[in-house]
Amino acid sequence: MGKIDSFKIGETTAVKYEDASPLPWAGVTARSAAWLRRVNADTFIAFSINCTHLGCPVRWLAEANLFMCPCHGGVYYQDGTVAAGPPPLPLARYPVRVKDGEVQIQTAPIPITKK
Amino acid sequence: MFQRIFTRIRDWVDDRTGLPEAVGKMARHLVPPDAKWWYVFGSATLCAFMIQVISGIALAFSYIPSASEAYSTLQFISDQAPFGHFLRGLHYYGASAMVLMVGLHMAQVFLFGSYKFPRELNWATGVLLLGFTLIMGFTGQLLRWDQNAVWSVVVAAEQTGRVPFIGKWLAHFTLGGDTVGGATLTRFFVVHVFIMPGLIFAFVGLHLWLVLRHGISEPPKPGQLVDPKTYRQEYKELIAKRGRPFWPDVAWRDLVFCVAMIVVIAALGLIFGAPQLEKPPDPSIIAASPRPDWYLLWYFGVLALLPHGSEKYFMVFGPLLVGMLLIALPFLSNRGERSPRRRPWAVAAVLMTVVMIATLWVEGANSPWSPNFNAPPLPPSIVGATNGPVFIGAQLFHAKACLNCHLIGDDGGRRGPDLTDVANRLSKNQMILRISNGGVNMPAYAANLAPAEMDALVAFLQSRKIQRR
Repeated sequence: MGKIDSFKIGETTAVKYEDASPLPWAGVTARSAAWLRRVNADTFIAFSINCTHLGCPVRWLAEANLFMCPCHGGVYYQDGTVAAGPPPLPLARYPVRVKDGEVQIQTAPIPITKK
Repeated sequence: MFQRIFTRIRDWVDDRTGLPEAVGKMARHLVPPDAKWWYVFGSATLCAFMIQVISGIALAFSYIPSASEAYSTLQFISDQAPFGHFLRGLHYYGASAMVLMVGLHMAQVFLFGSYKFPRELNWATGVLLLGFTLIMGFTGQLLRWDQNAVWSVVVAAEQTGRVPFIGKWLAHFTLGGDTVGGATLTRFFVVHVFIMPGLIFAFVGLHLWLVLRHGISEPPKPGQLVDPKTYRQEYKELIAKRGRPFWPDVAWRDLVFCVAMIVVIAALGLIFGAPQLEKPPDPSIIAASPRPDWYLLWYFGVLALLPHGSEKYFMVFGPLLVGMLLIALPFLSNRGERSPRRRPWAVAAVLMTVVMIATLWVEGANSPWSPNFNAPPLPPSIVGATNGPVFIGAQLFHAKACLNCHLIGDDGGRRGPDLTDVANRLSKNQMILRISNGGVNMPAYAANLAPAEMDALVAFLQSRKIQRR
C-alpha cells in the first residue's frame, strides 16, 4: 500500500489496489479500495469501504472524523463502530502488517453482512 | 396474370403450412362487444416488449459484454454510433413503458375481477411476467456498466447474502466471485439477453394461449356473479349472441394505442435520450452514490426506511411474500362479484398500492436519509457574523459534517431535524447534551469536539432563532 512513512499517525486515507489474481479481461473492475488508518507508530487498521448495511462505498470525512454512507445514511466513527443509521455491524476490517517498511493488507472478499 | 400466380402461391402456402388459416382463426376469434379502451394495456405491454427486442438487438450490434470493454462500447453507442443515443433512449423509455403498462394491465385485470374462474392461470402467468419484467429492468440497468451499475451489483449481492443458509453462496453467485470483477458482467448479460427474454417469450405464449382458451373476460356488471358451475355456459352464450371478431372490430384500439405509445417513446428518446453514463466501473473510485433506475427507486426508499434491524427479514421474505400472495390471489378467491363497484376493498387495495409506491418513490427520489456531501459552507448572510464564536461555530457546523444532515435555511442535508430555528426549541444545555451523546440517527460528538469548539458550535446554534409575532 506504500511506505510506512507516507501515512501520518491519526489519519485515515484511501488506498487502492488490484484484486488478487483478477481475470485477464476484468479491466478497471479489478481495482479495489480500502480505508487505511494509522492509529500509532506501528498500528494500522484497514477498513473495508463497504457499508455493512447494503455494501455502498462509505466516505471518510477527515475533519468530522466520521465515515458516511451515501446510500441510506449509515455513519461510523473513526474506529469503524456504528455511529448512526441502519448499519447492523461495524465496518469490516482487513488484516494489516508492516513488512520491510511497507504497509501490506490482506485483501478479502467483499464482506457480506449476514445479520 | 400476376394475380393468378399470387393466388396460386398463396393457396399452396395455405395448404402446406395451414398457418394463414390458423392465424386468421385466432385473429378473428370472437370477443365480448364491450371490451374497449380498458383492454389495451396487455397488448401495449407486448408492444413495448417488441420495441425492447428490436432496440435491444440493435444495441447488441455494438455492445461488448466484457468487464473491461462494456463501458467504452456504451460511450461509443452514446456519442458516435449513428442513432446510438436515440437507440439507447428508445430502449430506456421502452423499458419504462413496459413496466408502466404491465402495472396498468395488472391493476385493470384486478379491478375488473378478470383473474377469477376460469382465468386463474392467466393471472398467475401474468404475475410471473411482472417478475421477469422487473428482473429485466434491474439487469438492464447493470448492463450500462458504469459506476452506478457496479455498486448496484454489490447492493444486490448484499441482499441475496441475507438469505438464510445459502446467502453466502448466493452473494458469491451474484458477484461472480468474491468481488466485482471479470466474471460479474457476463452473468447479468446472459440473464438479460438470453434467459429472461426466453422466459418472457415462452410465458407470453402461454399467457396468450390461455387468453384464447378462456376468451377475453367481459366487462363486469354489478350483481353478475362468477359461479364456476355456470360461468362457461354464460360466457359461451354471450359470445354466441353478441361476440365480435377480435380483428378488426376490437384490435384497432390496441393498434392505435400501441402506435401512440411508440410515438411517445420515440419522442422521449429523441428529446431526453437515455440516462447519462456515470463514472467508469472502477470500484476503487469511492465517491459514488448508487441509485436504481426510477422503476425500482421506491424499493430503494423501502430499504432506507425499514426499522433498523428488520432488514434481514424484510429483504428476504418481503419480496417472496408479495410474490406468493399475488400468485395465490385467484386461488384464494375465484368466484363471486367481479365489478369494482361491489368490491370496495379491491379498489382500496389498488389505490393504497399506488399511493404507497408513489410516496416511497418521491422519498426515494429525494432520499432525505442520504447525507448531503456537497453542501457548501454557509454564506455570511445566513451566519450573520464574520468573526467571533458564532462565525467559528458556523465553520465547525460545516467542517464537522453537521451540515451534511441538518438544514440551515435552504442549505444542508435532510437526514436530521431542520436547525434553522433550533434556538426556539432547545436551550444551551439541551444542545450540549444532544451534540455530546448523539441519538438514534446522530453520532455522538463528545470525543470529537474540544470544549472551545463545543462552545462555538452551541453559540452558533443559539443564534439560530426566528422571531415570531
